[in-house]
Amino acid sequence: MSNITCKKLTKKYADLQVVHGFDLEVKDEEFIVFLGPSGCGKSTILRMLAGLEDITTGTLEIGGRDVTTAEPGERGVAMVFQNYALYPHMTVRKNIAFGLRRSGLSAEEIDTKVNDVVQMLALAPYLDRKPAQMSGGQQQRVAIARAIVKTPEVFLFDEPLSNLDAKLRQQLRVEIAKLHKKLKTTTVFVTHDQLEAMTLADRIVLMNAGNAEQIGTPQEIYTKPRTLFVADFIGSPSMNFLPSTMEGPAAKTSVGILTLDAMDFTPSTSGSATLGIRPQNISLVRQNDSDLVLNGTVVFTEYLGNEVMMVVDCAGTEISIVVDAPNAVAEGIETTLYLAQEFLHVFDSESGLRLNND
Amino acid sequence: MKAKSHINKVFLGPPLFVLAVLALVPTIAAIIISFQNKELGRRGTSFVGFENYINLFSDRRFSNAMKVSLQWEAITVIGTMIVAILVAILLFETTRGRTRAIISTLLIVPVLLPRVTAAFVWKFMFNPLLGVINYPIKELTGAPIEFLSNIQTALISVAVVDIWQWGLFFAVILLKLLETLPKEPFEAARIDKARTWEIYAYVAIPMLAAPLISLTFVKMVESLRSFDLIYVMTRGGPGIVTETLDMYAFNQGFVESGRISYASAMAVLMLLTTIITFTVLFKWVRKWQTA
Repeated sequence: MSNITCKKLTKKYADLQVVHGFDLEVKDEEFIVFLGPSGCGKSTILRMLAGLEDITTGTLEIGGRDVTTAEPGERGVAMVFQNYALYPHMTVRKNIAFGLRRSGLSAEEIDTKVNDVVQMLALAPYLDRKPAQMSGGQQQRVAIARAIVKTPEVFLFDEPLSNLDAKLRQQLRVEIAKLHKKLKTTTVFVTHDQLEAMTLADRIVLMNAGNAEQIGTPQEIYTKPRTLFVADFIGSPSMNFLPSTMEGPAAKTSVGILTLDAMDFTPSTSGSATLGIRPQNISLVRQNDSDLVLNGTVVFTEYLGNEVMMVVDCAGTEISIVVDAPNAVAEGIETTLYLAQEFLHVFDSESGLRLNND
Repeated sequence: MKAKSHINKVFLGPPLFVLAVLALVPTIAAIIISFQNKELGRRGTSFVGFENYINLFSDRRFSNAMKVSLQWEAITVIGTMIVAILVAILLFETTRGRTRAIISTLLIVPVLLPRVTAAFVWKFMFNPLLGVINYPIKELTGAPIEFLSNIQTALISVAVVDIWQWGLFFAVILLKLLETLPKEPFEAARIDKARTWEIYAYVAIPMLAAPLISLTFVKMVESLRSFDLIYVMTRGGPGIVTETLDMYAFNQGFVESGRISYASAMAVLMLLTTIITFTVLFKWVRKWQTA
């Protein structure tokens, strides 16, 4: 069992507090992704798990063992860094074997283990090369091999794909997913890329300013964002937001009064709410009788391949929508938008909390 | 292209000219004199072929000077590098920010002292009667150690001064080099269960191999020029225990017998040995680095 329990973790640098009471229970074999904008504290928490940053207050357990103050080498973790962090003067073989040698295994044991991971990651042709003689993708695979070979209780990945080009990023992402299926090692993966988070995670921890904004499966995060921040951060293009004042089911917005008669939500206490709907949930044809209707003019289109992103000006407010390419409307043409109420989110403008009852 | 090659000449010309006048002329003169039998205070010289060189090989004082020079090189170069590495790591591990900056500045002071000054300061400190180093030794054992007149300690004591000047200076250079290293490999090593000394021995120092080798070469050349230090502190004594090649050449040429040609032959031999040694070392290091 190698679950991770974070209890009220905080991190303070002099007067600056960057992590505020972080709680998380990671189950054995789970793949957790910390997602958030830069500076949200996600890497700091990962480094606290690794023991590279001291934990100011709170406790950390890995596999039921309190490791709050343990040395990095004593925590049973292995880490993959954004810039690979290979030992530049050592060959690939020595890089992979370094950790095993420090734990005092026999030469034969080390050889067997190294050969196993080398097979797994197809690194055999590069064993005698030095990191500088390899591409970024290959270097990162060596770094992953170096982590795997120690058979750790927990894998920590700190934005491992950020330095790679798009194609390699995708390849290595699939490879990491496959490795996790095979090895089932508990994994914490930090990224600012929502695509990585969505595709890899069992659960996503969405971070904002040193707090976990929402913890949930990728589907939960996407379909039921707990707050405005989450709704805005996840999804591409971003969700459309309409600030409004609420009177019962009637929402007074800049595009007119919208009657949310087919929605179940708790009225906001302040009376002001923000409506949110994803560009993908707006249609050019009526789907339901309850659809909200907006009229506007297409001001901008962006061709994405099989889809087109259109920006529609509705009474001065720009709404973005994504439609299948053949249905797209050209710039300058007036059109009618249909907003499906089942996909509409209502957020309290003050607290940012989602008010839908589902 | 044409303009570029022209500019090369403009910039290289003057220094090469100065070098030719200052270095080449005396070198050629020394080579010529070494084949003669010139002596101070005696008129008339003639060419004697390799006589001076042949005499050198049967001169036991010359082989002693050779040995002392080698010892001096080994002690000061190795000592400097070890002190530099240890002090740099100590400072890197235990200090930061302003404290580190202040200590670094202090560590550079010794090398800023003219070597003659440093030599006199330490000569006084080593003094059996007045020296600050001997004070506690006298209190403890009742008798001072005559560092500079004891056969066992003389060479080491002079080397201490050299290492004090250069080891601490190199420590600051190394400290700055350590600061430029990316911190991730250190962190990876910590997660890989490496102990602190292992991180330095297996990761940090190997990552600095190239600059460390350069520093070693610099120190090797620098150690060859320690005449003033030894001259002030021991003049080659006691006896000939600290008489390096340059000291012996100086003694032969100007102090004891005025045998200019004999001393020149020594100088020429030193020049040759140095050129050959350094060429071989450079090649060997380059081969090792590309491998």
